[in-house]
Amino acid sequence: MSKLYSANMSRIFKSGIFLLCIAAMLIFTLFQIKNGIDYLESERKPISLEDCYFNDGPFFTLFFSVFIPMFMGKEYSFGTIRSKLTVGHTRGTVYLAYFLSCLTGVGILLAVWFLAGLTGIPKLGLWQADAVTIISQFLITILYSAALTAIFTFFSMMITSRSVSAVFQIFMALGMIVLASMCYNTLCEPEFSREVVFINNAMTLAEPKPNPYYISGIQRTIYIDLVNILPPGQGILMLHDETANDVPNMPILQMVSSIAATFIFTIAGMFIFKKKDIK
Amino acid sequence: MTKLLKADFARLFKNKVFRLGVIVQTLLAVDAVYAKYIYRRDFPEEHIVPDGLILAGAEFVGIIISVFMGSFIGNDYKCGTIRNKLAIGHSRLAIYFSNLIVCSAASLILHFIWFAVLFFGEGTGLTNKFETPASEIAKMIFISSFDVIAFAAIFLVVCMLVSSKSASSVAAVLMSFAMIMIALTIEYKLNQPAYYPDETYITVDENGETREEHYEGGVNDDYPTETERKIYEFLNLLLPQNQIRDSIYRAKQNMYLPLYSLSLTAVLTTAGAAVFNRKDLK
Repeated sequence: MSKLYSANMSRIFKSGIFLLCIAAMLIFTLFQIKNGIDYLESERKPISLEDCYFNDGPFFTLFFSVFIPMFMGKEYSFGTIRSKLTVGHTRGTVYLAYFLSCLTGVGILLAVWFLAGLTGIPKLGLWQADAVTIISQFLITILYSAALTAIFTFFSMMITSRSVSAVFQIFMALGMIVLASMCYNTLCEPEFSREVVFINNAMTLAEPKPNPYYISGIQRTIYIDLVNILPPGQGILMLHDETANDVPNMPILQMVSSIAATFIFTIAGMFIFKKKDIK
Repeated sequence: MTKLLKADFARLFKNKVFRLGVIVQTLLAVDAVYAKYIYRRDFPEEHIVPDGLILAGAEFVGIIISVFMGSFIGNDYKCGTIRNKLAIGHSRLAIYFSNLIVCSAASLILHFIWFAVLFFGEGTGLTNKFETPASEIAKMIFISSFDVIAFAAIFLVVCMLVSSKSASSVAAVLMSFAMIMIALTIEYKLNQPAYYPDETYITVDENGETREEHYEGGVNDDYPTETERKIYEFLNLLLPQNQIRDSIYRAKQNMYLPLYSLSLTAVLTTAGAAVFNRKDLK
């Protein structure tokens, strides 16, 4: 197991796609920080460090969806997996070693994000929210990154063709981002819309009309759960102002669902991989 | 060249990703027409025209074709077909041009599927009639046809120069999304006002009390400088995704636009073919 892990890690560090992802993550975070500083200077409205930090959250899905399938696809296309099985490693340990090494890779990408974000401190100041919020937000970020790693590792191990798996997972990542933001936007619709009408040049509020786009009942519950469970949705909710609209941010559900997804996908993946026909 | 084209077209129609792309494009078009139909049925008092849909399909062509070309050209490399073609005496230029022609044809097929569904919807009365006069629609179709060919030329450079199928597929797909982002960014930058006027907002809160908020205007920092503006305007004319979006939102039909797409196609193809000519095919 430890041999497999260290072999995977040395391959990750040598893989061009990983270095490319680190560079992209660095540029992307620095760009967000620069945008935040520009905003602070031009609009003169306060913006906190965490706003710039957690802005990137929904996009992590895309980074991981490029890195993991591209790295793991090589293992199939060069027959590395076959060789590992031939020298006597069990399928379970091979799978687990891949998951753990991808998790380490993702951890390094997150570390790059964290360190690059620190460059904003001289201009933007330290985090402004209380410590508990900040720590729980970082924890949620780490947990949903682990869940994403488990999901992408699962599909990378299931799909033998490297290009099919890479393209499929990029679209899956985009699908998750679009689904999460659609649910979030629908939830943000107000229940009643009030129009301002002019009567004798004086402004009056019209009677509140029910908003046709507002959803309620079971549909609302499903949407709320979806936003809280989908990793990009958790990223969106970090920036969300709960006082502005009625979308509950449920940190406990987020953490539990991320941990559950990590375990479910890894165990299911190990189980299916044991029976998979590796040509 | 004729033989190459024949072989490539035969492979095109057998390609699973292309078939999938045709199905996806058809479904997207049917969905767009269906949405207009539902909207017209539910809000009969509003006159809803399907004009906004005319060029929307071309945007999808940019994404679908990137997935298709990664697989189509990537297979050529992966299965060693390119080497075989060279071995039996086809020139590298002929291979490049044959691929360009086949991929352009694939984009045009996807492009016209959209119009077929759209006009079917209009003809059978599912949607209202177009407000845009027929001659304008013909112009839009003409201009956007060159845009989808430019898409094929752009992705062809990536797919022909990167030998790894998965790397070129991923690069092409990410590029197709990047092109949409670039189009949106340029649109945003060009629509910035130079100055913000002084503004007073009167808001009414839930208790019915009015409150005045005064915002002082000033110079807009996001307003592009003279040079930046020129670059953005040029890119707006040059890039296919920008041309399509510009046509959607401003209906500015400029008959010089195909010249820009054609020059882009020509420059990229010349450069791509030149590099491919010297490429080590192993």
